[in-house]
Amino acid sequence: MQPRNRYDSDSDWQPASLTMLVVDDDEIACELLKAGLGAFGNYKVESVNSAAEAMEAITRRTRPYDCFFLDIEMPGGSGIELCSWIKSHEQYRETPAIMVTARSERAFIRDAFAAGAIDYITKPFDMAELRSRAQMAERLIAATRETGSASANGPARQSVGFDEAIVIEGIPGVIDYVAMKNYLKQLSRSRLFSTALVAFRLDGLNHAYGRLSAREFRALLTLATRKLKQAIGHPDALIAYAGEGCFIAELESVTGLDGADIARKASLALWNAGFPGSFDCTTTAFQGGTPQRIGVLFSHGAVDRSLDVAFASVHHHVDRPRAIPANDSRWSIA
Amino acid sequence: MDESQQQLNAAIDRLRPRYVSTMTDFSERLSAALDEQARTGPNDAALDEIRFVAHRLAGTAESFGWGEIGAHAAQVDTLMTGCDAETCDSHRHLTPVRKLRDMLLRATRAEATPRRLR
Repeated sequence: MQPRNRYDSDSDWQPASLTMLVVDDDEIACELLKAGLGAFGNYKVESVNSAAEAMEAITRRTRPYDCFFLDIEMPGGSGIELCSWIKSHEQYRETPAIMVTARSERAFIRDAFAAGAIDYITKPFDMAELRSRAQMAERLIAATRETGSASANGPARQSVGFDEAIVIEGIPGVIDYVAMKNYLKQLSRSRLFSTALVAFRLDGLNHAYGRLSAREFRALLTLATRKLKQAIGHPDALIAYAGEGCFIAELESVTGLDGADIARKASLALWNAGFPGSFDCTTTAFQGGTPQRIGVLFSHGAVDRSLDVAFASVHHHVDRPRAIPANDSRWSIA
Repeated sequence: MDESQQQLNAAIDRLRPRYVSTMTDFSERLSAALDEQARTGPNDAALDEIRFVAHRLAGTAESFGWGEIGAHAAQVDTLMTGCDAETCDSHRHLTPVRKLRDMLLRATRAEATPRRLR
């Protein structure tokens, strides 16, 4: 079973009226984005040409924007810094921010997602691609509005599904699971295959889920995420909660990545944080890109697909992942 | 062709003359930057100018039908990233810039030529 995302495809999807802000110092690029978005949906699209103008427009606005499209390289302040600034505001925590940039280097992509971007489009952009991203943003907005009314103090099982990829906030390098998927897709598109994933599953979370309020369950997930991030030990690692007690961490490939060692450190960190012994930590680690045997899996590329494999490997809670299709030559059990 | 695609094409057609004028401006800016490099040797301001133009073209030229210019501009953008007055090699770094300038000149001249003469 795959984690439930906030934007799972919905056949009866209909465009909604949304207000979007495009930020790009290139006026022609702004016009292209406005034309594209305007043609695809019932969107009111505004544009500004710098981070400073964007901050002013956002501050001045009484009804918050529904979505942002941000260029990265702009004089006087980058789109990544702007994204962080936007996300630091309570009313914009869950507002989709999509980077639109000519930059395809790993550092830009990683920093953009770490700053809270939900997706990344490289220029020159394809209009069909722009359309699909706008629709994804729209589904996210609809899902956020739907879940926003649930009571945080009520039992977790009444307001949030155990399979739901809950967004963990307030920890640097912790991103939305949807963003993690998009991040890995973007690495694949940019042919940045040198990527390692570590998947964790905490077995005790399902019991806690049945007993705790939604607020307490979120606090528990936040603590667990913090401890897992510490156990990974790489400051640039990105981590997301995938639902069903599973966490996925991504880091640039490192020689000698040891899944067992990370699992030991994670178990110890969780134990020291007061998690009971029933929180068993199952971990698998593997690496995409040029064929290298590290941890449990052996891959030849397709970084985006690795996420499903990572999730399946811990979700089924077996020593060796069984969810890998036997006829898929890109993946094999080492 | 669906309605949204028609709407989009119409918007691109409206923007096209403005983009051609931008391309003319960019070719002049590249020529000026290249002339300056030839006159005074590599300097950071001229390299920044080249990087700026290449970056802009890489992002938008393809949307207006100049895919080759966009792709070459992206190569120049990548090549110029991290290049400064000290590391700039005239042949390695500036030859592709001259090619980009020439591509822009050809494209803008072709746009200015009445269609029946092309």
